[in-house]
Amino acid sequence: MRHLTGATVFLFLLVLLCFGAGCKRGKESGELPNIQVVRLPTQSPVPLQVATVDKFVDWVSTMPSSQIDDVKKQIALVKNDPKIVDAVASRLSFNNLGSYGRQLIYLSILGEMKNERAVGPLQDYLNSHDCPVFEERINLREPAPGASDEPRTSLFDSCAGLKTHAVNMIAYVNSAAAQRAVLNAISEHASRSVRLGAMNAYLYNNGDSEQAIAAVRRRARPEELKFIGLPRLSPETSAKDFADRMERFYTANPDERPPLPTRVVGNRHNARPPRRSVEPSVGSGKGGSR
Amino acid sequence: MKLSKTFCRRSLVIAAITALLLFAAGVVVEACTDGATTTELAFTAAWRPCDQDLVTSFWQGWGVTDDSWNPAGISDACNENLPFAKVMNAIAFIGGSPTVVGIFHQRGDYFQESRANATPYHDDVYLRFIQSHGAGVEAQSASGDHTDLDCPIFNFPGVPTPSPGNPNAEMLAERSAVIIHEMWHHWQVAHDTDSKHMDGPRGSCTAGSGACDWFYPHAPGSALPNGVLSDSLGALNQTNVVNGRGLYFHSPYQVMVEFETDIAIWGSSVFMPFAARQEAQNVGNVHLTSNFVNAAGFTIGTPVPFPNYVTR
Repeated sequence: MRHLTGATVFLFLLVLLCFGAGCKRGKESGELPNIQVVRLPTQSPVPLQVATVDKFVDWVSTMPSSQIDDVKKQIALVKNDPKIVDAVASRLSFNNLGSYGRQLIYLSILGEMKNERAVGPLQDYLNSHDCPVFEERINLREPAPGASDEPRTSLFDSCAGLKTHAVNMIAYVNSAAAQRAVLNAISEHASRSVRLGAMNAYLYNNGDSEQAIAAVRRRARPEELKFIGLPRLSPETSAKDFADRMERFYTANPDERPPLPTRVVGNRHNARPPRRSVEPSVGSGKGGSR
Repeated sequence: MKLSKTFCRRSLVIAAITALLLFAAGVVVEACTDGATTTELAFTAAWRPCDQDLVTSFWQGWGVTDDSWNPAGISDACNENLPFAKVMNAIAFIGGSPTVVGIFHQRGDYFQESRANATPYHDDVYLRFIQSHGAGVEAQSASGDHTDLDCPIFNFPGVPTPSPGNPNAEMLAERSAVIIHEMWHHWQVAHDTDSKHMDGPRGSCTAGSGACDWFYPHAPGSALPNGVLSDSLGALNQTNVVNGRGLYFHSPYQVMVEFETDIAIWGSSVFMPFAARQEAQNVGNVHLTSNFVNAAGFTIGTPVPFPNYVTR
């Protein structure tokens, strides 16, 4: 009986261990999964008021793209209200992001308002020392002396991303003070991403005119002159025009064409990777703190 | 009899250890900074994250099968506060890439390329969860048979931080693009090309150690030298290496940027929030201006507050 009990326990454990350790190889399928989605709901527009800024941003961060016109209408209703500018600007922060996407939306609201009062806070954000860009951070990411150069970094420059959106929004305000700030960023900002973003935004908001191109040319760093007038890929872009402009860029700058790829033979692995995790479980199907 | 007692005792020890292991596997520990953004929550609600069959399909197809996922939410698979569910979200997000003409590449190609199971793109690989490789690492595919995904692509930034400027790459668009980027390293290995990045800063690349690539320009829907259009199904897997004009090839950063462009401009407006597409445009433009040694000859979208992306 004891033999039987022990054997039973052992067999039971063996099954459990196999289950946990991957003896049961999951079925493989070349079929791509069929994701049946639920359409994002069209939400009732949220009025933008001092007391509703967070609720407004909740709406913008969860709505489908088809509601962009609703957002613009709500912002247009309050674009001259300095209290709204201040309420939104007070949420610009690198110390308390909320999230990267929320910061983008705060910046977008200020840009959409086209209110001169927003230029100051946007400039403070653009030039903040609280969030160093790649060029300011690069020394922090070098390997320690004597250390292996692994791991190799694959960092996203989030500070440059937010600051680029800030300069885009200053350019969109497009007042005299805003234009000065953007032209200054083209030559002076530490981040190449921001400098190139500033060039593009200045040109866009000034109709890509000859005068605008000349103004940017006067401020651009010599090694960045080639980036003036890069084609923009957007829904309004003609595919042929885009392809022609891209080709013209590389024809005018043949040194920017890449070299042939390097062949390296013999790195392939033959062993099938292990399956060691437990199987996923959705549990009660109710997720976390939604 | 004596043997039987010993056997029983051993069985009990094994049972206790096994119970502990299974318990540990089921317990979710604080892996990264847990939490989810409102955009992530909205996206989660729009697909079937709590459908066991679909989650199992993602788990198998994308090789989220290493035991490193056990304490990262695998047993709480539709809790989007945790890394495992965030990977599920990223896979579903790739499923929202477009299928129309005139784009960089088709959804089916991004899906096939990003899978861990052997596909025409690469051999069979798997994904590991790593809490930290050191400062600033989002992911890496240093070894041939796996890719490591690190906390920066999962960390919830919703709490104030005393050390601003820390890497923040939790955005859905970036997380999804990182998977596509890393799987392209496995494409490189499978196609006998150098899978290493270059060190920067160098040329137009402002990034640091191991974060620079070449950009091989092609327009969306462009005709390759062999007559195939680059936006046709399967074209992402092609190369036309011709000296000078006609070179058609992709580097890891290039594939992720093309994916981010496709998402931003033509992504599904049915289940992708506007904010996720705006993030795709923003992060894509940052990669274009910071991760290529040669100049990347375009920008994504227009620099306006609320771009009019394609809605369909």
